[in-house]
Amino acid sequence: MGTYGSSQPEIPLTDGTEPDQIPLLQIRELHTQFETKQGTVRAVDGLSLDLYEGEVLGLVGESGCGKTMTALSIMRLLPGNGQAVAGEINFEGKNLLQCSAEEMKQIRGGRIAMIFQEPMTALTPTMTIGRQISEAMEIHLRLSRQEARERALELLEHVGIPSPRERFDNYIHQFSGGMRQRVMIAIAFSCQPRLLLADEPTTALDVTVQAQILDLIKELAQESGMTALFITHDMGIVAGSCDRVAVMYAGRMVENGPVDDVLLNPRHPYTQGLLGSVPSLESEPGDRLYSISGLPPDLVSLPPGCKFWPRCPLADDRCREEEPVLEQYGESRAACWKVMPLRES
Amino acid sequence: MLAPTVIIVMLITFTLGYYGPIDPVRAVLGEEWEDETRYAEVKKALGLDRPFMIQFLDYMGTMFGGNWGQSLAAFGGTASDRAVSEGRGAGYSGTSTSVREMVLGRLVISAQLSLWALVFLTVFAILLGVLAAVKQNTTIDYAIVTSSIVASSIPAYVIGPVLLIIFVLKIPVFKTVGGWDGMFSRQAILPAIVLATGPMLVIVRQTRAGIVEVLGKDFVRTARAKGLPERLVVARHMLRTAMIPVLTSMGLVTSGLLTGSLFVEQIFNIPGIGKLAIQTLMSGDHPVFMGVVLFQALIIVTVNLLTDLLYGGLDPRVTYD
Amino acid sequence: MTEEVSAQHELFAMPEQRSLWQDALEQLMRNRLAIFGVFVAFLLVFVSIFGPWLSPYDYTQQNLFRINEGPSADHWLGTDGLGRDMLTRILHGARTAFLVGLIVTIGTTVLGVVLGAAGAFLGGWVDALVMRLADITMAFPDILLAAFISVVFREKVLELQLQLQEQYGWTLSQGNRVYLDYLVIFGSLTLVQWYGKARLVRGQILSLREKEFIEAERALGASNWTIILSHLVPNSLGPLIVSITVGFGGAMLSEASLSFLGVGIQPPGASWGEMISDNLGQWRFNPHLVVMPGVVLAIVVLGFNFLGDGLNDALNPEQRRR
Repeated sequence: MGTYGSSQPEIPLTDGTEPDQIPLLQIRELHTQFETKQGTVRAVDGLSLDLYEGEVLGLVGESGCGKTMTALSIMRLLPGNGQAVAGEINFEGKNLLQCSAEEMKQIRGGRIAMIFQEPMTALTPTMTIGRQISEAMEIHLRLSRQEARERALELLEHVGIPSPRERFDNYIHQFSGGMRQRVMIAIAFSCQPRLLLADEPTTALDVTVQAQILDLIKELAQESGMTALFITHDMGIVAGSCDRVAVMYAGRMVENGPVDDVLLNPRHPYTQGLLGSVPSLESEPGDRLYSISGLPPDLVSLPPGCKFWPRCPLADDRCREEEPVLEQYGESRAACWKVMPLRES
Repeated sequence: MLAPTVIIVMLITFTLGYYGPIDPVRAVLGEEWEDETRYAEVKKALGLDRPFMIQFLDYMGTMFGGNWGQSLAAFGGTASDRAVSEGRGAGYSGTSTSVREMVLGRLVISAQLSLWALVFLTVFAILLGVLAAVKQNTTIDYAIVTSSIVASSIPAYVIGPVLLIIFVLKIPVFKTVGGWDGMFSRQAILPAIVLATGPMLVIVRQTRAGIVEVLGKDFVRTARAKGLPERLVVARHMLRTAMIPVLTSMGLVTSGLLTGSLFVEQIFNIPGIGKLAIQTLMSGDHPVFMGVVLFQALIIVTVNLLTDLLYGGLDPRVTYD
Repeated sequence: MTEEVSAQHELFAMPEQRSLWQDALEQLMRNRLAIFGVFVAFLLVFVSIFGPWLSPYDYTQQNLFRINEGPSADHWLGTDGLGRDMLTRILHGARTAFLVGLIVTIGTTVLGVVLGAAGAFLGGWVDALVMRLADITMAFPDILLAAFISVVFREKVLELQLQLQEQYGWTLSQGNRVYLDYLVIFGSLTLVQWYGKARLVRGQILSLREKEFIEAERALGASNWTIILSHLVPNSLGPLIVSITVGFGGAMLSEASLSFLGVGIQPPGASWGEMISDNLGQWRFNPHLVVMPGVVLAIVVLGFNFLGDGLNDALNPEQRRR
């Protein structure tokens, strides 16, 4: 794994003594599993991922590919039957998987904040939004109730909620979808965390509002120099908001790299499928674009070999038997046997 | 909603009293009742010679007028003797024969007892319900639910004597039992516990159901993602939403406490409203007994109404619908 | 995924009609507390039928030389304040409890099903009246109302009996008025406890009426009676069985309560509630006299509650999944 970090071209080597910046968040061989009656579901299956200070990384994939479970593993907020059974999640010099419950409480909200997909259900219906924003600050920043209230009012103003003083004592059902997500963002940013996990923050919103919310998150993140992990299935969001992108399939990473490179030259057929086209060198003018056929695999009984082969138009015997590993291709890395000839040609 | 129910409750109570077994005139006169002139006199004095409907309207007038009539004790005779001798238990100083004062005077004692029972219920039953929900489908959960079923199924007149035998005879924690010596005396502890066992299951079950419902909700995860201590996650984010089903069962809890007080006050000889009901039912002091029944019905109806109102207060979404 | 599997299971089980009930029975047999309830119920039936032959004494037989005794070889559970054998009286109390449970349950079920079904099918003012009546009955503190009704009833029944005796020389009971007490209790408890079943039946019918499969049947031209017999009855039977079981225990408990308060079974009749209140004064000196009928009452009531709970889990599985 020693060479892993050197694949980050956007980080210039300074004087040769320090070959690489230490990642803010470093996920190593993470395995997250769920015990169900049908068997063990491998939601995250050996994922490794680095997140560097100040960057915005997009984590993309279809629903059920393990994006959200990765984020919840970082927060250690997996549902009852789920557990991160192996691997490391290093953050600020600690392995989060080994932190005590007490340490995790300090980290959650204080060092790492999370924005959830559906703000209506993710916010407590029986508590005023003002209190929901200020309560975390009372804990992490040790503010008095009054101070927290003042800060919360500033935050509400900052995230663009008109007349915050009147809105402070409102309940979540009294807000529109976009405003709800702004409240959620205010909560996430309230304690100035270093890392933000945004789980499909705009999926539940109207298209017109999506851009505003994305801009708001980007703006706030830039202001405070925050590092962010954007979980999404929307390549448009990745293109517009992220520095780097990592593509997940069946609980593992299939491709990652700088956004421009991955979007312009997707190496993995799955990434190509997500982008809705087959820009392979073999394709002739007039070939039809394709979208990925079939369904994501059953995570209880994964096929041997490449997990994508049942849906892959390029799959051959090797793909069915041998699992590809991530290889460097230009600025990006992809795990696919079929990329090799493509790169050599 | 409230008024028609109360009127029909009154009509039923009054009809039962009207056709009831004990002739109020005889109750007043005692041995003298065979004297026909005296009998007619008293009957007229009590207004019992008038037709049923007139008597009922008159009764309704007295009730709504806020003066609930007079105990038969006011008219002297055996009923009076009995009412006075039985009515003046420890702690009850009134010699008044006004139904309102008798009922309200006794109610204070029952209310204090019920208040203690409610304190036990809120502390233990809600805590147990939360614990059972958090430990859902484990041995702890089954143990809590099963023991609540046991506690609530066994009537007060079985639990009461058994606790007396244990805590007075076997392990003498309490020396004096029975009677009423104010809310803060040791005598109040045992009866309050016995009274609390009745509605316990309802509260444990509803709390458990409410918390289980809330446990998987996204907003609880958000609260945890803020790094709140678990105690605050439960208290601020879960309990309030989870308490809604508990609140809707307040009517059940109230009638449970009222029914329980009938037995608890009988066993521990506490001069509360339950004891008053049984005494007056037995002695035939119908005006007072009917007053108690009506008053209890009124309490139940009011609590149900309050529940609906509070429901709106607890769940901010309700006002919006 | 669980839903899919169970849906498939139901699909395959369709041709065999009884399998739902067999499933329920298997489910019930796995519940140890419910098995305890079944055992208690059988024991109660047995004792209430054969009780008098199980003991050499009569439940009213007094022996003033041997009062308030502890357990001995002659009297396994001791004797009460009048020297009556406790075991015999407890056994006879089982008969009282079972009779009350049985007749009140039949009464409330008939009344509840008729009123509930009438409300649901006829609608309009009938429905309004039934629901109103249920609301009002619910507004009363039920034991107090039952006590009031039974006091009034007892007087009326006594008067009636006297009249009958004068006119025809016919009497309901000689000397021992315990059958009269039974009658009074049956009546008053039925009048107070019918509304739960009426609401249940009405709710079941109303909710089933809106279900798609009923509409589909109707569209296929099925008659009302076909629908009632083939769908409404089997579908409402589960909740009704649970309600009947719980109600059975409830009726026995109410009888004990009324008797404890002195308005139910009168001495010398034997009722567990009456025995508790009768011996309450002895709790310091002869605690067993209070504890024994109490424990028996508690076990029986618990048994029926556990059985009701078990039946609820077995017969209404969708409720349990929540």
